[in-house]
Amino acid sequence: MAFLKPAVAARVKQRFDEELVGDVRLLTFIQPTTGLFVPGRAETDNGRQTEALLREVAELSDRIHVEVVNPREDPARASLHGVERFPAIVVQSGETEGATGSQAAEERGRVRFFGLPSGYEFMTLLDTVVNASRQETRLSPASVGLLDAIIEPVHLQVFVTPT
Amino acid sequence: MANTNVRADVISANEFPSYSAQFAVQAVPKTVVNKGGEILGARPEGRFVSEVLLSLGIEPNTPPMEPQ
Repeated sequence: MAFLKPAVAARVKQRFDEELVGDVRLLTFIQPTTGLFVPGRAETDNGRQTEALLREVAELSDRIHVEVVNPREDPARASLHGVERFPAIVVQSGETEGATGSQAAEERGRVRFFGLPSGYEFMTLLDTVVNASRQETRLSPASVGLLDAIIEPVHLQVFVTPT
Repeated sequence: MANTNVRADVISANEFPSYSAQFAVQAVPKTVVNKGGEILGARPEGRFVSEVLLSLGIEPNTPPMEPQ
């Protein structure tokens, strides 16, 4: 099943062609469904949907690489990125993670998405991919200057719902 | 991305109801700064930056700028 309609895929591809500079990795943590049926609780399949969506996105540009990690099989990787909820997408600049060491890799992935990035969040994901590829932000110089005042780790969590 | 000290998460509140409940998310967008600060609703960029700084106890040293 395709998530992206052909017209949408064409627009996204055009944007990638025009704006992507460097490689981007979408490090994706997905817990496979258990197949257990729990009465009163729908087992969501957001993980598989997230993977399918990201693979569609990655097909639109050679610059985008998707790596899927099962946190049950590789818990160390999940804890390195501080990922405790799934599905999770860590957006990283660069093609490979290992070359510069885990600490640097961790620092490069400062934007994460939890849950299926559908609706408006899909646009946010695309913006994040472009920013990571260009290693720049579209914040105004004034905002960037103000943010220089932050010298200790800060965690921003934006709660959203798909629209 | 402007500051490597900042980690930003986008969380689909519907898919993580119990985690969202920990932060009393009743309306979106809701931004939680570290564990304490809260920003409800969307803002122009300059105001958002200022409010993030204020919730960290940092006085923004220049007036917030509205986007052009």
